Amino acid sequence: MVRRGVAKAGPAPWLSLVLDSEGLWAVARNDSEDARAALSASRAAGIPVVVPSVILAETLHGDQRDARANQALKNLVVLPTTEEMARVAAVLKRKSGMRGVKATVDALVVATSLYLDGGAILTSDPDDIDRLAAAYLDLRIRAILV
Amino acid sequence: MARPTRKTSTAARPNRAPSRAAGSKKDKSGVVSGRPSESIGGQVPAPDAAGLIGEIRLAVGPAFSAATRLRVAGLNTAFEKEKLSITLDKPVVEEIRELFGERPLSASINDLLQGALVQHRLGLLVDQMEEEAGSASPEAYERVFAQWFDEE
Repeated sequence: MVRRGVAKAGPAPWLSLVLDSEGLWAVARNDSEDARAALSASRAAGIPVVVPSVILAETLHGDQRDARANQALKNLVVLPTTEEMARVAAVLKRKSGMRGVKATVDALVVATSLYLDGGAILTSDPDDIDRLAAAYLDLRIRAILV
Repeated sequence: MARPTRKTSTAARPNRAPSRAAGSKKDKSGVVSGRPSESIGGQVPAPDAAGLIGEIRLAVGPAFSAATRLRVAGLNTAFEKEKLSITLDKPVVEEIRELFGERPLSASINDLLQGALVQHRLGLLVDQMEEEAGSASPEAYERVFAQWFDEE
């Protein structure tokens, strides 16, 4: 049963909401109540919900299986990953002592959040995101589990 | 800044300018220079003065140059423009000019509209999600907000 309008979103306290791969799929599949809460609160606060472009490479299949993700992406902001962000991500990896492809993608997600002055990151792996974000002390970045 | 009561970004670049109008600079292309790219123009803060942000900027080096940023297609390169003649309420125009200072009025209005469209699209998505699966419960909001405020 649809409960639309039952719960009212308070405005999000974060400055931006960045989606990693699982965050994007949670939105695309619409199977996470917490993801809906995070997006609804972001809308109430008038803040952007952003997908780093590198996440598309990690997440999409490049065929019809992407239909739901593409539908969601039409209404989200896809932010290109720049050299600047990539270099920041490299520093974050070094400072957090993390290595590997997964850490690289996670670091780019955190770097994107930094680019937006910090905020929340919708993810299924909050520990790694928090570890990378902890390397950058000037801004508040928090992982939100979906 | 455009935010009257709290710091909020209206959208990712290039449409986040309204939230940064008072605190950041823009180059001729409309590129916002803010964290972590405030060092555009060679003004790199010393690590001891600026903390980790300064250290990261020094490590990144030339990547923070405006020229580098301009090479990034789709982020801050200019879209095709269409010249229009529109009529706006004078108080609205005055407020925008006050908000954006000496920045060209067209660019300022463009950024405001882009930000509004980003929020409109997000609203469509949230409405669609809630239509399909219902609104999130108060408990869901509590869980999500608790993670943000968690100090651990």
